[in-house]
Amino acid sequence: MNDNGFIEEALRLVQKGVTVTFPVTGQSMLPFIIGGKESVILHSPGGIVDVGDVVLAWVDGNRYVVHRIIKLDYDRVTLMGDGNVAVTEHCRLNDIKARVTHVVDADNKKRDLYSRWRVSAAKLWYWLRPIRRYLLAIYRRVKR
Amino acid sequence: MRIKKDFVLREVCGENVIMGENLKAIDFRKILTLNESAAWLWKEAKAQGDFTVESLTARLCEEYDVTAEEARSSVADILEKWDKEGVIE
Repeated sequence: MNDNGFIEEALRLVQKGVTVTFPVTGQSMLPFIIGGKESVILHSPGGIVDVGDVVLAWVDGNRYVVHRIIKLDYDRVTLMGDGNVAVTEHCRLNDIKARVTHVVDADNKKRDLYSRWRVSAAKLWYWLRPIRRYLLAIYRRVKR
Repeated sequence: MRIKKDFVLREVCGENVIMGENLKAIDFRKILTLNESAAWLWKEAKAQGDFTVESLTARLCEEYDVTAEEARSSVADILEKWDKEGVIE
């Protein structure tokens, strides 16, 4: 994601309790979020996040990402994009600025990221990391 | 006409944008970006409170070197857009 000013404006509103719909760019959350076509709905994390949650976080002290939490170790958070095959990011719990609850497509159709089906799919997707590269290549070819 | 009370002009990343304030939900896909003259017009409309095409046209003619006809056409276009976006009433 770029345009930090717009992200920070969105986060200012999220902190005030406003539900913010924010367009995302990049393909690092494929196949769960399609950057450039879909948006995410941001809520205040309220201090409660868990492994498997998709969050907007300030990572590695230099950028914002919308990625999934793959490990929580007290205050230390490890994130990974669903569309990435190996790269992870790190931050502290207070760098988690918003929790993504839904994805919205161009037709304004909303998908709950935490429906039982999607949570199961995300868990399976995590374990498929060794072959993600090939699955993503097939996905991109099919969706082209 | 009036600017709806929940909308304010803010500068984000060097751009003039209309943001909703005190709303429960905001969609950043629908943020209205204003160029310099539209932003000036927004401030003028805000200062006038109740405004009309004529009142803004008059101020635009005082401020910028444009004919009354050009100014009226620009003001009408911008107000039509703001009306469509739902930021004035």
